[in-house]
Amino acid sequence: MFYDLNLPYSNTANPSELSRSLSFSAELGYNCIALSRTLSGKVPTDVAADAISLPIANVKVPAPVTLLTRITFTISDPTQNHRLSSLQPAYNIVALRPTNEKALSLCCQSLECDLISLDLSIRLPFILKFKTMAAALQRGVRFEICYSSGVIGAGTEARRNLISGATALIRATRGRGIIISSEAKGALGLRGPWDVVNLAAVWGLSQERGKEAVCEEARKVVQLARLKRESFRGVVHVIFGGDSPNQDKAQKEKSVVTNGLKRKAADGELDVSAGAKDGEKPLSKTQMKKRARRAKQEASTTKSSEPINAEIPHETQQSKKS
Amino acid sequence: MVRIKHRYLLIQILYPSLQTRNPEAPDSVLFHAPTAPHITSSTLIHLLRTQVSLLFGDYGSGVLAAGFSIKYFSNATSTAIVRCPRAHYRLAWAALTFVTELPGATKALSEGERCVFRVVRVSGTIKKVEEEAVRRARRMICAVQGNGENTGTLQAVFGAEDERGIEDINADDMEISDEG
Repeated sequence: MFYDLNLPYSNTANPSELSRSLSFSAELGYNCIALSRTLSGKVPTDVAADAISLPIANVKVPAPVTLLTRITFTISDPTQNHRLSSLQPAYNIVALRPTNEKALSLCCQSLECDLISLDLSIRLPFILKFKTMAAALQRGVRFEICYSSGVIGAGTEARRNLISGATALIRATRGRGIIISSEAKGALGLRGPWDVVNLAAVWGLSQERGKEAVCEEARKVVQLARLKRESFRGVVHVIFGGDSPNQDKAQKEKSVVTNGLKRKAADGELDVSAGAKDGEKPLSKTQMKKRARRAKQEASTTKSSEPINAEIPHETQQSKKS
Repeated sequence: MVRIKHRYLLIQILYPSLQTRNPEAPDSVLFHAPTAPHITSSTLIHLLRTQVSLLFGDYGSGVLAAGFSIKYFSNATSTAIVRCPRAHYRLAWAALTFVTELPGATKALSEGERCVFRVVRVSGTIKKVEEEAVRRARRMICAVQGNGENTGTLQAVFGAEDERGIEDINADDMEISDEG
């Protein structure tokens, strides 16, 4: 399973272009792709109306791909009250993009998010410190490297910024909790997962960590985000709670109605029909057979105890047969 | 005597932005379109060398100077096998990842096709790489034949006159001259 958790999307996007990008990522071997909407400034009052609604009209999604929705929210002013929690129910993943050091440390320490995505297409205006990054990692928030800006051939500057940003991020986090995604504006910005792992290896992330960055770590981001949304305090999630007892009751009541009798009488009648005596459990078929056999045996033994009368008809039967 | 060790990279050239010639062909077939005939092994190795020196400078070109070559290239399947020294194969691979377009037919006249290089297999022996190439080509043919009910799809993709290309894929033994 390979994950690409950042494919930019806007409502005005060309559907054929998007479906081409999706089918190309499927061709490259990605299984899970998150469509990302970018926001900055203030959180709109009605987030749900603005959210990405899947499936999107006129967009073909290739068979092995699952789509997710994600929002990337740019934070430049840490003093502003952002109401970030209102974003959570509308999107699968909430990513924050801090543009200065204060915003970054706030994101790492307290703001509610699943992912911190630094903009690596521009030169980072501050130094990344292990202490702030470690706070985020402790909370289970991961960092993202978006490779597309440097790979599409936009020039030397973009490539340099990407490489310097990526190496800085790898150094500051010591390779922990990093995911790699594309942020590709078109299909040309996408690269195969193993190519990406190799790039990360050249930049100083070990091969295993690189593999994890497109597989396990990305999966953890998705699953943790899901847990945060659906479960009780992000800890307990009920997958199957058994059949509800209300159902049995409803069935019984139904039977009462069909019988058209009082409840107790109806119960009694039901039990009799099931073949049980004096309010016991209804007998199973094998048990009934067993009882019948035993009764027969007992009958035959009592017959054999009365010798002559019992044997004569038996013999006559045999002589008839021969 | 210890021999010099190499890595062989099996490469596919993909064309994600190509406009379709046949609307019924599946997308994956379109991405694997044949490469333009003016691209040969020598243009390709030249492209890679310039890319390496652009990315890694004199150090990269120096380290990859010996034993960096194209062992096989097929225009019909857009598949290539690149050999590079084992110690530095990652540099060569990274250089491949950063390639965005092929050179045009003539330098001044036209822009080249936009493409994506994708490394499919890395191996220490050329044999395994060949096997993988054949396997992939065969899977591709199956995908085309299974998908397009109209037999024209295959021709539309590989070009009607380019019969040799299709035979080339079918052949079990891809001929690769191994001088090294």
